[in-house]
Amino acid sequence: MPTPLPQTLANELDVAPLVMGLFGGLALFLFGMEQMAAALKSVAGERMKTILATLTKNRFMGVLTGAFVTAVIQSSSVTTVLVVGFITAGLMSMAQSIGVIMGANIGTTITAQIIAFKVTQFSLAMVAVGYAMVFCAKSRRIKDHGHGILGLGLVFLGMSIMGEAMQPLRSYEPFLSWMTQMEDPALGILAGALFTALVQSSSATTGVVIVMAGQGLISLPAGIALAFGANIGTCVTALLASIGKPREALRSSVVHVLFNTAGVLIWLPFIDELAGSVRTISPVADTLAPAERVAAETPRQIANAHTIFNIANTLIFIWFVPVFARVVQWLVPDRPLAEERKGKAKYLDTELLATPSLALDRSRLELLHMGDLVQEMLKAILSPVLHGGREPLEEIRRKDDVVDVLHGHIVTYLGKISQTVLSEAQTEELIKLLAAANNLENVGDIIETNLVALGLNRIEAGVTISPATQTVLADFHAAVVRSLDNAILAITQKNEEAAGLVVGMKEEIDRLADSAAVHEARRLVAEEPQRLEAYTLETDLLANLKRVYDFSRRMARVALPR
Amino acid sequence: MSEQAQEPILVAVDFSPDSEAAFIWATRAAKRFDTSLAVVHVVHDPESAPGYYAMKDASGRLVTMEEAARVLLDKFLARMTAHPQAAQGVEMTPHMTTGLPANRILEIAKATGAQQIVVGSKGRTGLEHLLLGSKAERVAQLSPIPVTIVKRDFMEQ
Repeated sequence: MPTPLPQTLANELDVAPLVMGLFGGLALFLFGMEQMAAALKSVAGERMKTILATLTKNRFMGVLTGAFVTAVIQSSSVTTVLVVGFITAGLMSMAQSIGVIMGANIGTTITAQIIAFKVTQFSLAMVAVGYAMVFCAKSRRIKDHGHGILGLGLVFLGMSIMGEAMQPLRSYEPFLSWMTQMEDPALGILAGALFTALVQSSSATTGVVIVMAGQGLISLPAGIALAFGANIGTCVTALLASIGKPREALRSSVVHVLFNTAGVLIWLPFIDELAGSVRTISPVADTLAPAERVAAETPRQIANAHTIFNIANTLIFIWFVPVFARVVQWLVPDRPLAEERKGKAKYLDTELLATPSLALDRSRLELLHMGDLVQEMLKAILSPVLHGGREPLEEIRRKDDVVDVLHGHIVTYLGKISQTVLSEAQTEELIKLLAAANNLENVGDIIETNLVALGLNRIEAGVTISPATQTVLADFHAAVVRSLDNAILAITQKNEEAAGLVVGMKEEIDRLADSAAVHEARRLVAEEPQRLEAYTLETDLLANLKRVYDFSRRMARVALPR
Repeated sequence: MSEQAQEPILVAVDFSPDSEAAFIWATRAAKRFDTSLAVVHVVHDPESAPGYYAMKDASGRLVTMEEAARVLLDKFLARMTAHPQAAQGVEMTPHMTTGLPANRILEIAKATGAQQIVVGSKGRTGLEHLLLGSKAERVAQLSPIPVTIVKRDFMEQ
């Protein structure tokens, strides 16, 4: 039962305890939410991720999945940030994400419903039980559950502290008149959105609103307007998470903004109707005096309005998902293809470092990106080494600069993964990826330094390579290209068959090298100008291509089972 | 053979029956003009039926959309090059990229110096067409080179 409301209004307020209680309570609330989300992520995160990525085959399933995952991990921000991570990882599309985001809006209303139950008197018991589990248990799972209970206890404790701190406000006239302004929907929505964006948690906003309603400080329409604002403010978290990510991830965040904003705009004229209907369906406390009754009933009414609003919006907008997708594709167009390929890591997402299995997948994808560039260099190098001008050689050199940058990114990212807790299998995979990145970088350097130099020497010395020799060298080059193709496949797709092919090519490479050497020896005595210079260039080219094969073979060998 | 004839024909595929028809038509055109094919797939999940690329590998690990698309493209090419209605002996280079289909198709057409673009069309009608339009139409509107839109009925003729 709420504390009886004061009968007289004051114009003076003791600010220090109010500010300390309010901010201290809010800090506890947010810390508790963070603890709880982290614990729930740890307990159910992997399963939730698999559910998210697999059960989103149509928009309706996406909604159910998003709602379920958000209700379990108690944070729509975590769900939307996970979705952005999934899109960046290439495991989910923007089209799949829209349903999930709509579902997350519904799932987050569960938090407000829980908060509206007045379980604050059990908060310290929950903190004690949670802490005991964390402190005493040996099992990681029980510890995680303990963290979850401790977190929830802190959430309620924070609310209770905020509620106590706010008690003097119930009789502070300037505050009460300021709060009545929140009944102006535009102002309420703006305040709710700003506060949510600031604390990065819509649950914190609805939590504070419900606490204030429980103190009789806020009316139902004002509470609804503030909760509407929370729906807009919460988009900021996903929007921030999508900065610097692929366009699909940014599009997903923009859909979130569009959907949540459109939802608020269409409800704006109907706040009073919504308030009326939740008054009808929510429990009543008709035994209390009017003021106490409002304080007792409003929290649940706000939670119910929040739930109805989000479910109704999803039911309306789910039919317009393809239209949302089209609008957002127009708002966020692709970057030009050429620009996308310039030395920027496409996949290395720092937010996924907390989930090593996903982070390792990302490194493998980035390695494929790097491998594609090295392969392009290798394919392109033969022609300008044997004939033609400087420009193609310079172009290959520039490409190696990009390869070096990517190598740096991959090694740094793998270094960060190694600082997390890894299983033995994950550690082994990390070492393989690191070795592959180094081997690929070495191949890039051989092409950039040695082979480009050979081409430049040929141009300076004016050497011409005979068509017969060009054919021999092209055969050898084609075999080496094939070996690198398969080695990249072996590492990036864990393809043991491809790895076996590379290792098994050793005989073919040796045979081709031997027959090339015989050809070279025969050509050495040919009566041609600059024969010696041509011979040196050709044998150097063969030796360097053979080194490229050696690095491909090293890469492939680590991909084979021990 | 003229220099013009060396420029490839670009065919965009999304593995649908419409793009099968486009592919078959393109192999025949390439054979007739004695040129090669650039087979393009843009990884882009359809808004109306998301989750197209969601798949797991043999060990149950989720594969990325790009990996799934690679597998689908390989299978498509293996199936369609052996198709009895496709022209045989045409040289083809697969290209795969991510992004918005119409723009990417045009970018790759430019990069490969394609002489024409071939695309399939689902032939949306009514409200769906009004709201969503057609990728094939968009390519045709924006392309500086000739575009052939092939309907699946073509294979039945």
